[in-house]
Amino acid sequence: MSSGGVEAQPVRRGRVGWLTRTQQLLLALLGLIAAALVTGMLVLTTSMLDQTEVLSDQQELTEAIVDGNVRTLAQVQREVLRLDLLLQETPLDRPAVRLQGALVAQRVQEGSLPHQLQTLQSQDLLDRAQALHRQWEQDLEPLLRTALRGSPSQSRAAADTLSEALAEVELAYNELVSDGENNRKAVAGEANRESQSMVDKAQDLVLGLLLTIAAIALLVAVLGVTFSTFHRQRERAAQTLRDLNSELRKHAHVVAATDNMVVITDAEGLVDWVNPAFERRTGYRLAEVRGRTPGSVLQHDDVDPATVDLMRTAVREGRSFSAEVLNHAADGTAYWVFLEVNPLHDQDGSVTGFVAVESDITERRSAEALLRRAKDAAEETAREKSNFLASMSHEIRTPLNAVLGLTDLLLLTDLDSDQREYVRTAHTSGRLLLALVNDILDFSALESGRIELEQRPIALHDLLTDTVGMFDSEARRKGVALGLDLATDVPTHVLGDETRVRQVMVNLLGNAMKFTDTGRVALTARVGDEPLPGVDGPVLELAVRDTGLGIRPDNLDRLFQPFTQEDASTSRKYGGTGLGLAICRLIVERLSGTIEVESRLGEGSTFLVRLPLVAARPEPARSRPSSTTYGHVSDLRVLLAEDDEVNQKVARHMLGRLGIRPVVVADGDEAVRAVLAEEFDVVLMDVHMPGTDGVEATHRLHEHLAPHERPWIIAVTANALEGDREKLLSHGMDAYLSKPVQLEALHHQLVLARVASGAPPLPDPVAEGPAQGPAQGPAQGPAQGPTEAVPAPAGEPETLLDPADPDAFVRRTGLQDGELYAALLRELSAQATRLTAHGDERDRSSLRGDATTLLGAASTSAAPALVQASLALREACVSGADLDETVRRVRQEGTRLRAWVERQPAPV
Amino acid sequence: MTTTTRLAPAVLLAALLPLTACGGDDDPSGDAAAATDSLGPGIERVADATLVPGDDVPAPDGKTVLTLTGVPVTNVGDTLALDRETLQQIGMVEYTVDDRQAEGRDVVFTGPLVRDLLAVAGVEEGDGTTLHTVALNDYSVDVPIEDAYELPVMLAVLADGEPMSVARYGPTRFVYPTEGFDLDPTVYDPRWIWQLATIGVE
Repeated sequence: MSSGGVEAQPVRRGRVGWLTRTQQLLLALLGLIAAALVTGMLVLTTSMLDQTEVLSDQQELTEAIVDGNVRTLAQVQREVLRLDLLLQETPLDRPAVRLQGALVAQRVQEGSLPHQLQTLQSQDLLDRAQALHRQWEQDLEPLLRTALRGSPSQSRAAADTLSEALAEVELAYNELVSDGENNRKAVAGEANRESQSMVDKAQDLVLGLLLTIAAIALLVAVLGVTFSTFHRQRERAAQTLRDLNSELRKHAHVVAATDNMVVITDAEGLVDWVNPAFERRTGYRLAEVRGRTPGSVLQHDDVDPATVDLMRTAVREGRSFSAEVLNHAADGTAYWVFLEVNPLHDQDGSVTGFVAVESDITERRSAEALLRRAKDAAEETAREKSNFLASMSHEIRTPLNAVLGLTDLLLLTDLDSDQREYVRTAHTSGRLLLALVNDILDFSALESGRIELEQRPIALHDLLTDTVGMFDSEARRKGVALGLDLATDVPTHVLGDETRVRQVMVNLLGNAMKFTDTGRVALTARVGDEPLPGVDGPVLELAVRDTGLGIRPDNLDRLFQPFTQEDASTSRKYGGTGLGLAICRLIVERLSGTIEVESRLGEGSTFLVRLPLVAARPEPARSRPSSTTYGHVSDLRVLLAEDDEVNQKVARHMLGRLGIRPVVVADGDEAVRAVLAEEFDVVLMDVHMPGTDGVEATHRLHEHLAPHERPWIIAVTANALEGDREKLLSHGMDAYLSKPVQLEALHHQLVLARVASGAPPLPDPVAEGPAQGPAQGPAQGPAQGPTEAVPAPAGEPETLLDPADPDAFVRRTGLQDGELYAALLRELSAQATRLTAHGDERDRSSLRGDATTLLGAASTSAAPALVQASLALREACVSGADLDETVRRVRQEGTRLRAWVERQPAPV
Repeated sequence: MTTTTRLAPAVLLAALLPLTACGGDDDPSGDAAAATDSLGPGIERVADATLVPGDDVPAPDGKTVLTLTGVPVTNVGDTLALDRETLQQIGMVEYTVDDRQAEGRDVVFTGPLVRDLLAVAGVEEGDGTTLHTVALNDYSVDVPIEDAYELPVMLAVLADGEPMSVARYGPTRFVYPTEGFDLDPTVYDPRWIWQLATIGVE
């Protein structure tokens, strides 16, 4: 049986049956009206009963009034008076008297009838009337008879007596009449009152009737309204039901057709219903899961307990939630679902169940895992690439430096023209190679965005002037005019990265110089008109114009791409790495600027760099942080004691290459005199001099000067026999060089001497380097090879050196990549550890080689302490001294270096 | 079934017939002796008329007890004077009434019907409108002439078989039936004139 076809939810019943508030009100109203009606009816009925009572009372009274007749008594009075009158006559008119008597008799009798009670309204009065009747019959009628039948005198007497009596009787009847009349009045009054009350009651009745009618009318109206309301409501409810049902059908279709699994549970989370997709995916039919929680069916032990907790809590609290859960189908296969669960509420807001929509995300998850792995792999590759590049550059640079140095020296010696040619070519190639390596590293760093650019105040005018000045000699040599045009509105100081700006300008000027044989190369700086896209504020425009070869139009587009030069012939002719402009572009873009070129073949080119211009106040001059800068010996005051002129010349040249102009003396005596006269940092003491030789001179210097006053004495000797060194050192020489002196060795010893003599640190080495060639940026020349080392001078106390000098590293290599530096240092310390692992077992010569390598690496990596230690080890290997101490020191420095690296904050 | 439904209307008609016979008109002239009960409940004819309308009415021998004026038949001047004997010749009826106004008890009165008297006096139905009655004690009341024709109003001459003295509300009095006619006291009580002296037909 399919579980499709959703049943419509039953109509939720409220607490007061199915009546709405309106309906309740109407019903109440109806009740009220009904009550009013009933009351009205009761009032009416009572009133009507009252009425009938009053009516009957009244009827009695009026009947009395109708029946009563005061006239009768008044008539008695009249007849009595008439009789009395007749009786007064003399003689008596007997027939008249008889008739009148009869009339009186009749009236008196009539007056005493019980019938008269109606009139008199009082038994008392009737009694009086009846008494009077008796009085007539008993007392007066006999007198009348006597008056009628007796003798005249008898009759007269009787008549008189009768007349008197009649007067009383008449009076009595008069009173009776009055009293009776009063009674009648009272009765009439009461009858009136009764009438009045009847009228009132009638009015009440009418009112009651009206109210009842009104109530009935109201009832009808309310009933009508109620019915129409009920009807409307029913209609509305029916319509709502129809709408709901159609909605429901729509939703049911969706739920039945979707591929997403839908589960409906009750408030406790027990399954009520599942859709076909659920059955398909899980393999469980509705009947199998109904009444159980989905979790109990689908989730096995491998489900994440935290997720289970989350779900359980949410169900308990009746909240929505979503989660990723590992489920198992009926056949045991595992799959991941993304659950979205929402509670269902009834009209009162209490939770009646949950709806869960589940989508199968198994594939997505594995895709995610793959992606993550790929990303990790890619990052790893990138890291490895960087490390590779860094170490490669070091590996390449080291021998390159050697090549360059040696070819330089070779050029100083006597060579025939062919040899000179070969050597020159070799040297040039070496230079180019080095430049290429530097550029590749730079480019790679820039492209990967690992370069951090400074925002410091730059002395712009000075920088531009210096940069142009760098090409002075070349311009003069080529016969090309060189100009700098600074607009007046260009500020003297701006914010930016001085190194990079200089790098770009040197590159562009170098190119211009390279490709211009005649005419002019000019650098112009002005404040631009057009704003930079996406950047507010003024724009600094730096343009390098030349009147050189120009660039072919089709090559213009690719100019700023790496490794394009116009053609192979150009690169062969003009040299260059092909990365210069690409690096410029990257730098300029990182600075939020633009670089463009305009060129006409044969006429010249203009390279325009536009950068955001932010004027700055000049940085107050402050001393650069002191750090032991080694390799820079140009400030040493050197005394050269050499008698041979050729050697003198060579030495002078070499020292010149190191930026030193020595004082030259030809023998020992002069040397001593010179030292005592002036302060020197270093004495290059040729051992074999006529007259006082070097040794002798050294002795004397030791005698005359205290250790701290004495200059560093380096013995220069041709003899390199075993034991020579010891002898020399024992004579008080501080170090020695063997001829022919290699520039490298010379430099090395001078550096040693520097530290040993405690010479003050040098200013920025950038200022000292001569023109290095157009394609080289801030990278130092080959002279600054791996020979920079500061070992502890023999016999002197050790100065504790820094494990690493990042500033020097940056200055030397231009690489500001902290992560790279850290990697280098880590590798270096590992190297140190490896070297010292089997230190005591190894033979000296191989150990010496390793120490040299370590030395080179330490020096490249600007790790002074390790440089010193490895130098010491190498010395020990050479001199045959005890190795244990030096090996231990190397190991120590390696560890210290490692610790230093780990202590550093995370590289940017 | 069908026979019953056909007979039903006939049966119904037959049943209704006797009802129509009842409540027939009073026929004052002729058949009076045969239909005394038609005058009213308990009303009897006790003496046939020997003085019938059209006859001359002799002048009274005895004392005139009643005088009619405004009537065609006269015997004394332009009035019709009647004594007890003459009155009793007109033809008398007799019935009992509740005489609460006068004697205060039921009394059997005997005397001619007023309509008979009027007929004898030559007054035909349709003549005149009012009987202006006056009593010995100056009481007077106008009785509508229809009373005489519609009701068995009696000119009573005997009360309980005896002639009435003045003291006993005589010599003659108008008597109305108190049974079977449901007369409104307010209207008819004053018309019970006693000690009647004259009737003026107007």
